[in-house]
Amino acid sequence: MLDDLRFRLRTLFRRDDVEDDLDDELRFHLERAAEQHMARGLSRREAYRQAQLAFGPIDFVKEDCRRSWGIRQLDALRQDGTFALRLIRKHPALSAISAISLAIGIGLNTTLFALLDATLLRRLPVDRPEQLVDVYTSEVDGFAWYGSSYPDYLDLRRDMQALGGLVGYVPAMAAVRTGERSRAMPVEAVTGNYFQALGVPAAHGRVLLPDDDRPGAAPVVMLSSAFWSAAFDRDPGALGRSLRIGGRLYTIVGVAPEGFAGMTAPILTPAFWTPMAWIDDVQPAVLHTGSSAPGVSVLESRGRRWMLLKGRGAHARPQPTGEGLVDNRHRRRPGRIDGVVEPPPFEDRHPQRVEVPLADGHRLDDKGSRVPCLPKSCSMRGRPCATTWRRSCCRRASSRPSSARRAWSPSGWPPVGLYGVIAGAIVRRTREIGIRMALGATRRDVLRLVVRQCAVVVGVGAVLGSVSAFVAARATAGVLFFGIDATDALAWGGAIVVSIAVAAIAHLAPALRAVGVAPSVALRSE
Amino acid sequence: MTADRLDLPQGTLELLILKTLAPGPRHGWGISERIRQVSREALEIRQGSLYPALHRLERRDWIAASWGTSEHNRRAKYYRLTPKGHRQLESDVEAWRALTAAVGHVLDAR
Repeated sequence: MLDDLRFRLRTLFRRDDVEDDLDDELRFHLERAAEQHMARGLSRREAYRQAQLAFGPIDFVKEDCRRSWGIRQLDALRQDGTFALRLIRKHPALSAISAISLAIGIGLNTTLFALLDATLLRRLPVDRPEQLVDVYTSEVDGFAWYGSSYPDYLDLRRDMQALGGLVGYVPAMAAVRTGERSRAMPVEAVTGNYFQALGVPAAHGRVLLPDDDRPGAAPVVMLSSAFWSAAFDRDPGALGRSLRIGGRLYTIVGVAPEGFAGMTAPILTPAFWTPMAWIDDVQPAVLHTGSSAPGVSVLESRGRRWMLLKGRGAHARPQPTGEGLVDNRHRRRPGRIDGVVEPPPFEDRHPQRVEVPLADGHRLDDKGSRVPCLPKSCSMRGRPCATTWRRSCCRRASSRPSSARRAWSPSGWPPVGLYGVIAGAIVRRTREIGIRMALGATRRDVLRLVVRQCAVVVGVGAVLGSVSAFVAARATAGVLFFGIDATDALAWGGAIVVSIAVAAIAHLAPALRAVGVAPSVALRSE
Repeated sequence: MTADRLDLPQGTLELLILKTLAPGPRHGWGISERIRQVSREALEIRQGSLYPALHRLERRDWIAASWGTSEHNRRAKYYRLTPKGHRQLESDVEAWRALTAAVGHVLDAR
């Protein structure tokens, strides 16, 4: 096998020498044969004639020899490649546009898909992510997707039976002192049940616990694997040491598993997690509604809706009645608390929105003091997610990577331009194709030629596209979107495959039409 | 091909080439002449088929080629058996003998 390959490659790359050798070898044979005939008394001319007669048509013998070298296909490939390069040189602008279109298409799509994958499609690295639902509070202004207040959270957790394992979290920035320097770092402030409810174990040490989130508990922090690597060089001795966050010393109790980056990644990837009880040490990085009355802490204020909630809604179904807790401290009008619930996949494809309307008579006084507001009765009703945004919200909470979803990428549209460019170029070659076929080329020959030209253009485009995709992904990963994989093989492969498919169709469709045209007609085409 | 000369059965040419090269290197013309002489002119290789067969054997690494000077002081391409070719020759000869013996048995059977 190896010998064969070596022989073929040597023959292919030393083609002129090999042809010269073949000529010399056959000439030697004919001369010896002719000499033998001359020795028997034939004239030189007759002797050579006899020798050639015995030998057979020399061009046929040469062709047989070339066949025995096993390089006919490679040879044809080389010839077509040379022709393709000649065409590219002849139409540099067109070739450049094709290759650049491919490069842009592949680069853009790989980056877009990596972003899409990281934000919407990738499965959350938690236990049974398909059960998770986002829980929002709606306002009477009609906007249904506000965050929640801490008192809302506590009440919902206690009273809303439809949702299990309700956790609250908020992305935030914190001033952290490492060594001599203080710097702002992303953090996620979480409720004490966060890790347990999500089913995320600690890679080292322990997770944050409900006891850590009680008033008066010692301040503790759980590090992300990335921060543990960067700041502590993956030293297990970091556990038990202190980290100064917002001027307070926190004890490091654990390290999160690699790959777990909180609930707000990749937009904001936390370096560590702190208990919600210490929310005042960090700056929540979310838009929130409402404001606290003077003297009321963030955690006590029902009016400030700044927390994000997730619960497990796997078993939630629209129910005739339910329990909920409501708040309309600003407008003195009923509002409601909504949950977007997607049942487990494959059982029910229609995400349900569960609503818990405010019961009458729930109100807060103007001074901002907390008023107990347990509803007398609440109703919950299902409603399919109606808009794209809601759908994506559901998907974020429940998606699993699947080939179908990965293949759903916007890769289709940039190559539409590519199709136009290439297909137009091939149509313009109808006349050339007609000449080839008039001279004896078969449909197969013409299609093979077009396919090989396509391969050259796609090859150049794929290389340029891969480089641009890598550069773009690295740039976005470094600036804004943490957690985007610059070398996502699936995204890259998907973009390449789609681009190749489009380029192939763009080459072949008009070529197939052209070979179907009678040469006499094709020759007259301009 | 004259009536008193035999056509080579399929695949035999390669065996004859290997056997002819066993004593030492020869060029293409030399191989063709040697086979003719040794077979007492009963076998004559179709010359046009000799060279493709030689190149095929070279590709399989059963023989190796190098340029040398012929007995008439001319540049000629010489072929020699490689170790792989030697092994192939042995097994081909064995297979050939077994085949002819078996065919002989059948033909001689009463």
